[in-house]
Amino acid sequence: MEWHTFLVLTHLIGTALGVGAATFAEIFLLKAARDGEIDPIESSFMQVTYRVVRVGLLLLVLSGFGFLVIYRFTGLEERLYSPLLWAKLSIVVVILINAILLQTRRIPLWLGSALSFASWYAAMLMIPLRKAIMPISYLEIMMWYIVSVAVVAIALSIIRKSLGIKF
Amino acid sequence: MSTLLAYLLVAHIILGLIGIGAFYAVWMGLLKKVSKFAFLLWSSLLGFLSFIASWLAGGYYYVEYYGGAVKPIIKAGTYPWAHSVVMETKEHLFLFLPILAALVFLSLALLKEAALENQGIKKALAYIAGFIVIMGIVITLGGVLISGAAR
Repeated sequence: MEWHTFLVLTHLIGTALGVGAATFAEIFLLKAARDGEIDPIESSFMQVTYRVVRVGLLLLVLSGFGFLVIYRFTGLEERLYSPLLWAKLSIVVVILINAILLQTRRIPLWLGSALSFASWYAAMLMIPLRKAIMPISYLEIMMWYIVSVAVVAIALSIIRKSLGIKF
Repeated sequence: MSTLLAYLLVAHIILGLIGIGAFYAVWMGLLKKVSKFAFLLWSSLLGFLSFIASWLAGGYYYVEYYGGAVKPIIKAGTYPWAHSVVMETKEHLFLFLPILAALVFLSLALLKEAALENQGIKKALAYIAGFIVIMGIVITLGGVLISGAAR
């Protein structure tokens, strides 16, 4: 198997694990918060889900940097200045910081959830959408990203209200 | 670029990422109410050794190849600041990381569980681990900028 193919597969698996686990983390959180308290079984499910998110993130980052190395060695260095690449790197940094802020409870849960959910989907959608949205600047991508975080926050808030959950 | 230098560049990147990942885990672990001592100790050792190895691989690559072959291309290209600002910053910041990493690892190794029982020490170690991660991310992004300027 060529390195590029291996990296594509690893990147896709990492993204799938991250997006899937981030989605289920939100579902488990909504389900657990419905009765007002998180029991040990619900907590253990959520911990496993967060572990899967971390594995996905690790695969995503390592394979992502694998691509950057390939670009460097194959004379495609101009791709390292692509706005899409820098937007994706920024979103990965947001995912990392958000996890720390959630851990230390320095961010409201509604915002942390929306950031995690929207960031993972943004990281995933950037790959298939890159041809459709180019040329686009870094600021434009980040503006769309902020809008998507707001939309997700509002959508999750509506879902929580309809389920009678307060947080 | 020789095969050895190419491997060293790849090793520099991967080991640096492993170091950041290990200290991210240490940071998260230290922020938890109940931290697992053995996990923190081994993660900080892994991070420390990774930074040292990344330091050596990157240093050899810099001395043997970057200075003579890549730096002149960057300085003559469209983005000369990638060397004069970003690489200069990266070089100096990177000197701190293994030392800070050693500080976290040795504090845990010498103080053992007492490092986690004393909230002041635990908080200080969490700040250092966080600083290592943030600096590591800045250095990593700097590396991407420098590589992109070498064309």
